[in-house]
Amino acid sequence: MKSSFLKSLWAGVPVAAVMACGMSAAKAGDWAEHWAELEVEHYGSVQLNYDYYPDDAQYADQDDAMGNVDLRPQMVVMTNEYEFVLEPRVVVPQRGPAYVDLKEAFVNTSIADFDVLAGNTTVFWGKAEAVNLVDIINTKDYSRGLRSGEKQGMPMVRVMTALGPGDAEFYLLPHFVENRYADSRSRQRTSLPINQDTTRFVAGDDKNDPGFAFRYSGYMGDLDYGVSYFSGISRDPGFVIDAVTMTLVPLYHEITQTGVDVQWIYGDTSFKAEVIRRTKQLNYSGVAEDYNAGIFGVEHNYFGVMESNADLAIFAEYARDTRKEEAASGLQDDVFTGAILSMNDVDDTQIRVITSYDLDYYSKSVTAEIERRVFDSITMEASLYAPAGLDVDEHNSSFKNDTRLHLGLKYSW
Amino acid sequence: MSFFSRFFSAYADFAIKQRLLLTIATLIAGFTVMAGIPNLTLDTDGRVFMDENNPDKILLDKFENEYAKDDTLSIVVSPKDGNVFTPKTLEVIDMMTDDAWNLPYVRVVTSITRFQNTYADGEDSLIVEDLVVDPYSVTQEEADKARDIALSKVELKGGLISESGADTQISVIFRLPGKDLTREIPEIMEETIPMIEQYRADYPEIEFRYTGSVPLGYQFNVASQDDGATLTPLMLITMLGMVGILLRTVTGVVGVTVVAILSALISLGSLGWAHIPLNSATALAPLMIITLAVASTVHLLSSARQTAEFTSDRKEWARKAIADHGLAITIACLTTAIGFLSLNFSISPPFRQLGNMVAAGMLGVWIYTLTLLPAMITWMPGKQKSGTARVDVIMRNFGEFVIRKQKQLLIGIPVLIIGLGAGISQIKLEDDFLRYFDERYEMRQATDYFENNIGGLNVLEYALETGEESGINSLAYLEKVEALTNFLRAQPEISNVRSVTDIIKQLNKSMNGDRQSFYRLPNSDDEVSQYLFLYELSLGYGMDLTDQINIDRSAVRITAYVPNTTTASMIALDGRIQDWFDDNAPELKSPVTGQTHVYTMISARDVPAMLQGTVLALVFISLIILFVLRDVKLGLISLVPNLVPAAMAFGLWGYSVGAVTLAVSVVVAMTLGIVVDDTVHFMLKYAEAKKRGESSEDSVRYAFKSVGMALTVTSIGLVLGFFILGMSGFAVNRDLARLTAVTLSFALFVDFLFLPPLLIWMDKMKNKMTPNAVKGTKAAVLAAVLLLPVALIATPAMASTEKGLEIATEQSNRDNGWGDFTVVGKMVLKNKAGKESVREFKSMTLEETDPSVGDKSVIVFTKPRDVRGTALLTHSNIEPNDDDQWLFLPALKRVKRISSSNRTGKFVSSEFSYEDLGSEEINDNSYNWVEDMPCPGEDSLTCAKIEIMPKNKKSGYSKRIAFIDMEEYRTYQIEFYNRRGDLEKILTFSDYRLYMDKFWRAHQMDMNNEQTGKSTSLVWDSYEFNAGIDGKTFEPKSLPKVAR
Repeated sequence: MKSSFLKSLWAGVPVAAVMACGMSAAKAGDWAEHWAELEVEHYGSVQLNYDYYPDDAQYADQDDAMGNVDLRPQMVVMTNEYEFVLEPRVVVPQRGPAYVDLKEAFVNTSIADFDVLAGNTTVFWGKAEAVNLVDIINTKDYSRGLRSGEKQGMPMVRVMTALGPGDAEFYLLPHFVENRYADSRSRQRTSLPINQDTTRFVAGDDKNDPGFAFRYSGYMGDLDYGVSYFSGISRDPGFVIDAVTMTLVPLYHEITQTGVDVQWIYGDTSFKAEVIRRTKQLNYSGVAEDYNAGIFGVEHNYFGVMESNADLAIFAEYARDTRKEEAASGLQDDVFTGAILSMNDVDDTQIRVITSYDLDYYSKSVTAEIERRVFDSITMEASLYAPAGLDVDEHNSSFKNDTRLHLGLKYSW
Repeated sequence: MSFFSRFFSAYADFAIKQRLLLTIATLIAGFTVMAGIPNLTLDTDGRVFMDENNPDKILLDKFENEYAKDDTLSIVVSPKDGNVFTPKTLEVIDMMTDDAWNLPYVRVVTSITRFQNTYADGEDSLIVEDLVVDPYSVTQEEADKARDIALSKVELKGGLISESGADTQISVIFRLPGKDLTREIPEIMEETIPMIEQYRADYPEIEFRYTGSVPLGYQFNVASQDDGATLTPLMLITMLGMVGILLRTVTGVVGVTVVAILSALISLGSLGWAHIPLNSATALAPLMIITLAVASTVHLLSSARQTAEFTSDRKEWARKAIADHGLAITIACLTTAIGFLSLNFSISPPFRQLGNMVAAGMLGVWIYTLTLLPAMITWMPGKQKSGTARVDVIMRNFGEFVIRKQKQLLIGIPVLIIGLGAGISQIKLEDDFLRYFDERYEMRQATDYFENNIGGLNVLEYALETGEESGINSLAYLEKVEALTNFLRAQPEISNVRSVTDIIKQLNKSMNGDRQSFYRLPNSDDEVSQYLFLYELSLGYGMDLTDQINIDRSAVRITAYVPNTTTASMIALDGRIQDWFDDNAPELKSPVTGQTHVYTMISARDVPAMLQGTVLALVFISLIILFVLRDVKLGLISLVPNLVPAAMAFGLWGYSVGAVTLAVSVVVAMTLGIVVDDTVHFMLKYAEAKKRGESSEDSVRYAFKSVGMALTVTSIGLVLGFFILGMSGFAVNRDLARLTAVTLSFALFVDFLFLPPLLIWMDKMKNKMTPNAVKGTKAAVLAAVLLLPVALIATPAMASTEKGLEIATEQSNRDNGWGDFTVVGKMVLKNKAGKESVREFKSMTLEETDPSVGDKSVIVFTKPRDVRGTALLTHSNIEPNDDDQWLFLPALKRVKRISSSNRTGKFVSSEFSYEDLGSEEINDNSYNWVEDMPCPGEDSLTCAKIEIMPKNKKSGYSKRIAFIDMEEYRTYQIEFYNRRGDLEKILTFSDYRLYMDKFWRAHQMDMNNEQTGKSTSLVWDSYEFNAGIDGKTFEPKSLPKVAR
């Protein structure tokens, strides 16, 4: 685990480069002045998570319960021209060693009309609610199970500028941080456990092969849009079976992805779509192929439902993938519906219920979550994930006994 | 084996092994709760159904503060000879009037003999004296004269005296200290009843009846005790008899009795610990729990009995019963409790208390059914049984019948459901406070007699505000009051109207030599005030005009008495009266109030409130079913048998009875939790058989065989139990129980006759479908979920007045040119109890000088800490276009475009709505200058009072009234009127400071909600103008950066 920490530190190189660059751009005489107006803020949160699986495990070595502590101190240092942000995510799992992900660790400055960011950060692209197909910059930490991925910081140099009616962003991604997978004792895993230590890259590819991405986004009236292009190592590895240890070996490879995402808002209703074309992605059977995928949805908001203060948002989305059953994501012909009830009370109570339904395999799941503040700085969340009918769904049958109750308690300062 | 069966199997072993320990522990816990019972008192106030937050009640309280709270007692005197005006009767009436003055808390007694008759004595002298001056020596001649006078007075007929002069009332008005209504009302009635009994004995030739709000309150007390005394034994005997006959075990009967009574006492104890008095609705809770306890225990007992056929090991009977039925019983108790807990959404406190009591009782039922009852089975005598109970054969045959006739049922039942359901349209909400008790009660008979023979007891009250002190002396105003009085008298529903103009007209006549031509309003304002002054000086003890004119003489009250009315006709009548206001005196327009009116409106208000509760209960219960069944399709099908019975019951009710009281609102939520048990039991067994690979038909057979009997028994028990509760003499309880009984009957009907064919059909459809049909269905499902309703924006109407617009424009112009500013806001939210919570945020605003483009702003939250970094970006647009808004969620780093029509929503749950805080352009509203007056809170300044009417129909307000000072054009106060036209909130501005020598900013803003008592104070700090904020900051792309 130590090595991944070192990997993250690799980001320090571009940070230093940009800092040096920025400083030489600023007049040497102003140097002292910049630092005189130094503004430091720090805050953060610590969350206790407890996952409980009431059903018998499908695989012999799986545990029924799993807990962890997720600590996120945050520090922002601002000068007139620079902004330094540091937000490591320290995870102390119930078993196994603690690890650190440098989720945010960057310096940000403006050079002429360009906004330049260098270091580790997370980025969100997309418009849909159930899944964001276009969102590709960050890899994920799946240590709580494949159903709950948390984005990991990705080293990059990002240059952003206004261009025409929207904004253009250029990303240089010099180093690749692998997904983090849970071990064989965790729930919500693949039928054969993934052995991360055996991670491989397709011949010719390397984690230090630079990736590149571009995005143009903006809005026109009631329409928000984004167009993106990515070339680099896929965030979704293929898997090959290691016949000796009977484990899965993640196999990373280079792909390109072109994506379009739009959202059109009409009164209280918004219509959303994300469409991608990806080339050379390894599919479920381990064969590289090109494919298209999309998610289309509509969301409607009711404000002040039944003359109360509560707001209700309901949405329905449909995901499709041209690879059909070969889609590694399993989102080949799926309907999602959801309702989000925000009580707008003093404690910000929010209840979310999301269902998914696979029109090909008839598998389905319900996720219900409730979140509210219990004391001034403490929030509580509880959720239930309950799948059903997974037996015939080969992508997901390894989760069929993995109904999960989650309890989380977060203290923020 | 699933987790649950493992759990309950393990628990069963434990429960049997440690039964002594568990019994002692649960009994100790139970007795601890029961120790609260001595704290219980009985609340007899008839107003118990009105919540403090009920807007009608708030209005009524305000009204009663201005005038008087009318706690009344009407003694109806009906001589058998049909004439009140005989010397004998008049003497009795007068004696009784004197006696009534001696009742506790009396404020005033009026009777026909003490009517304040006004006449002239010569040209300029006014005589005010009793109508019958000396009732003890009155002659028949004098009596006839009094009759002529009395029947000529429009204010007496249909009020104090009947049209024919055959009946009269002695009206007693009390002023209750209101400290302890559970004592004050019985105190009065315990003196009144013997008094009336005495008169009945002494004067058999006269009939005496009594009604009014005080006897009504007393009736609540008597009726609850009646219900308790008559229904409880009946209920217990029926329940136990049924269990005994069906299960044929004495052990069972004893077990059920113990569990039921313990649980009922626990519910009472929980109320006692909460120090809430028992009232007529909650008095029913123990009886409900007994019924529900029977349903829950029967499952366990019938299982034990089945095991008894195979073994004589009594421990095994109990163990197997828990292991097999523990989950079902737990779910049944849980869903029932959820159904009852959703009653907390009701606006009537007794229903909320009822819901919580039954939920507490259900906890008791659950615990004792799984601890004490099994223990009792092992301890009590019981032999091995032999032979299958005959009823099981019946069930099997019945199952075959349903399978054979499935097609007919599948078509026939929906027809029946729709046919019955259509009856819902026949349901009328009718809450007649006066008729909450049925004819078996003397008071109800008296009420009917009064309304049929004398006049109305239901009242509509209007307070006609002039808006200025002593304003009522104005002739122009009084003319309108008189016009309204005449209009009201012309309405066929109204029996009598009380209006101060009658007194003024009579005074004018008397002051002008009793000439009939002077029976009109005087000629000048001065005369009015002089007459009223003279009149009040001459009035007898205890009488004044304060119950008709408010203290600063700025308003008078008009009371209309409406006999034999219904909710619908009351609403229609008020509608006509409001129309009259609009056409003739819009400045006097006032909402209707009155004690009976609050009741009239109570179900109309409770239905929408409970709809929320019902939906929430449905969601929770459906989630539980989903969790248990693990099958979305079955989960969806389960909605049918859960919801359809209520629809059928309401339909049947609509066809047969029609009128419902406020009980109607809570029935669906309440029954949902009970109905659901049958469904769950049936579907669990069905799903179990399907999983084993059996055919749909065989699965139905299996379900009938395994749970058919238990469901029938529990349903019969529940229906009987609620049917007995339906014998209550109190209409709210009666309707509640009867509707529940009918709903539960239909639930069994649907579960047995419709659910099985439906399940079979669904399975067949799935197997039959060709791939194309599957695709078609998918497409249909997709189309259905993707097509959501889209609201159309209505085109706004316009109207404006020049001066108002001028001031608003000047205020807006003076605030031009600041460029941009940043500020820090701190909000302190206070609820009614004074509990505080804090919100802090930074805000940046960029001015757009072009009035056709709105300003831009960003708000970034810093407190509470968990929402730190959440940011809201707004690009305002000119009305009626919605603003453009983006929300930044720091956890995901997501910028999301959001719908912004949410004007009326509360900003971070404060009393400020988004609309109140958003930027406003001149063109968003129309303006109306009203008058210039001293500024509120700053008397030295002159403020313009301006009415601001929003152009956008989605605004939460019908209007706002702003007070803007004429020197610096600062707003000092804004009054917000909600869509109904009632004053909702008042915002006061203070601590104004000047920035850039030009711009005034209030550093303190206090918003008080007049209706809920909540308040929010908003303190602005660290204003920084012309900070030179980059325009790019106000773009969605910059939100992640701005939010740090």
